[in-house]
Amino acid sequence: MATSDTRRRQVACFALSVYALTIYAVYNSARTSVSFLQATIKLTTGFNVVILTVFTILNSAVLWKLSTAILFGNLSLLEYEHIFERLPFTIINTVFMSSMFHEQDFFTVTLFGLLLLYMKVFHWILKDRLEALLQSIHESTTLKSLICTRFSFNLVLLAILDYKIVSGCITNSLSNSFGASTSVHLMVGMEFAMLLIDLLNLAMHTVLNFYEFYRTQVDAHLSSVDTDTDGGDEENEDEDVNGSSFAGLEGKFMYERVIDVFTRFLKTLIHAIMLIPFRMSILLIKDVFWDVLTLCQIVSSLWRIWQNNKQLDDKLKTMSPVELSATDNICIVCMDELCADLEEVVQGPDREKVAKTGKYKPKRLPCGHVLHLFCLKNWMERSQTCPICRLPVFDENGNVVQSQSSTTNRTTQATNQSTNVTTTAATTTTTTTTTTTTSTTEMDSSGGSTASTPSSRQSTQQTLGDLTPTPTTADSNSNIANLWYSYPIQEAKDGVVTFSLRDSVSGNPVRAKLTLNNDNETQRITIPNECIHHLESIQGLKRRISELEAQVREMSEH
Amino acid sequence: MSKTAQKRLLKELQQLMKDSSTGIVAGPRSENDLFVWDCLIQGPPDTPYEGGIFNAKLEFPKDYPLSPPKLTFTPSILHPNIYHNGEVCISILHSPGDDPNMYELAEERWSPVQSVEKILLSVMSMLSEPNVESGANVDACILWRDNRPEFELQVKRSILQSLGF
Repeated sequence: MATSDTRRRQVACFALSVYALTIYAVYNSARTSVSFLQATIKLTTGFNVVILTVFTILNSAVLWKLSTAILFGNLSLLEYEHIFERLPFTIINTVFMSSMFHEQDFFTVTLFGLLLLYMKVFHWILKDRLEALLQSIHESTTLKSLICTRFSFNLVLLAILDYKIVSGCITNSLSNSFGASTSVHLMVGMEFAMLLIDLLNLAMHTVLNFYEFYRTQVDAHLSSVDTDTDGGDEENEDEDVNGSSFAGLEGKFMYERVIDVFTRFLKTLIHAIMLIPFRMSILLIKDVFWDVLTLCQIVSSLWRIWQNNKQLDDKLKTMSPVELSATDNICIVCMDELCADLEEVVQGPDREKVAKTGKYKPKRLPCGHVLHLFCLKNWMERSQTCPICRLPVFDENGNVVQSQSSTTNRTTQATNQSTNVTTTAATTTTTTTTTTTTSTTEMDSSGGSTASTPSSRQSTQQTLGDLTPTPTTADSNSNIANLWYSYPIQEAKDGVVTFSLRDSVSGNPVRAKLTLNNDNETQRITIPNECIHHLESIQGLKRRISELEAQVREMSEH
Repeated sequence: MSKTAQKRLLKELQQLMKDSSTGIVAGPRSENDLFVWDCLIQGPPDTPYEGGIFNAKLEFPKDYPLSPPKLTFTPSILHPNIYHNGEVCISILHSPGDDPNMYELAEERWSPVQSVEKILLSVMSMLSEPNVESGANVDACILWRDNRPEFELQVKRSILQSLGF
């Protein structure tokens, strides 16, 4: 508090002295000269230039402060951080840009450069504001209150300003096509067109988010009506079920990416158009060329994801309740139950709707993992691999990757879908023995105590999760190609197989033992104790603290 | 709009309350907002961080678990993989789409299979084994590589400071 007060006082002192100096400089030069021209010349030479420059900077800073206060109110810390992060680069860019033009345009360029800086900062703030607006959504928010905010007003205002400047610049440069400042106007027009496109992007994102919010509202309204009619004890349960019926706009991420690609396309287009008045300079052509190339790549990958996601429902197998009962019955994305029986999940009038979209169909990926169709779709927009084991779901041609293991193995894998560890465990089984039908795979740390303590179990999983498997080179066992990983077997005798894994962190080999018990059909994987980071208990922590305290006491005594 | 995220976070919280690994404590900062968590991480034994208890903030995006959360140590700690502002830089907290550093494998990135518990355990293992190849704090990287005793001394000193000595 005290520091900000002193800071404020310092700024006030500085401002006052600058104003006093400016007034003195103007007065001095006006007093000693006979004509206006002479006064101007005196003002623009020597120390007076410095004073005037500082005066201009100070005034523009004050003006900026004032206009942000009017437009946005108080800025948050994050917004300040973003501004100061981007400002130096932008200023340098603007200076470079202005150095391209003739000296006679100096005034226009400076003016437009400053304006551009202002507008850019406003756009950054506006972008952060959208995030803040979305963060502030709570139960009592309505669509109307969301639309009627400062944010929307600012969005429209900035859009109008941008549009005015762009159109002004274009008409200007078109009308005096041989004038000196044509290129200045063109350049500035282009920069503001970029800002306008950014704004368009922001507006589209806003609309998308608002639409999603609207859908949520409608849905919440529906479900509340529903629970009202049901009443009684079931209310809570019902709310839970109905609440899950609209868990976000499907494909929102996809739409966002489409919007981004679209704006990139517009920007590239404008850059390309700008090539004409600038007589195809090689430097610009190169940039445009790269833009187009990356754009093509993005669009093609987006298109592939889109295509793949469309056929997700048809190409992947829906699990039946019987098959599900053999698995963990948990969708790893939402950590909800995978319920095959849709009738059980959805009650009331929503049933048809949800059953039709089939959001909660449990789908089996080629690698054997089961997820809700809805959760899977959302994940697949981001990455085309299984979220659990990272195996690709589709090949290059958009076909589902062939599942290359027998049904029993698949269920084994699915049984233990919770961890990567068990996946590797099942892997080893297939490469070493195919005779045992696995029903349970159990983890055990060789310390003797069973995996009852969650901590040791967790840490084991952690270490194992980091193990990098060696891809199979030539697998003679079956048609198991790149789906399974094999580890070199070092020793195998009466049901005990010793093999070695590699710790991806340290690169050291970790010897592991796989015990097969044919009679009771269980297997164990044992990993030596020293490879696992044991986490100390709270007691250990307390002991450490007291040790530290003793250390400090010792240190302070000396 | 973020029902899935809320439900999943609630489930994770229940899971953590039921049986959490030793050395980590985590929970939402306030009851109204499930998207910001406070965590306490114990410095792993046999490392310079032994004996320290570090406070960190976990911020979840609205589309969690499809996007990774952000983990920030408050206050920041000296570590090659932790930025000056406390932000943790580990591969599992990077979304699969963007790759700012171009060296991470897709297998090491974020996936919904990760959870708060797994993140915090990974951070603990990061504390014990810094990855200087992809450092976030270059000064700490150099110190760690070239002058280990000095690094350990500085860490110890900051731990003592954080414990109020």
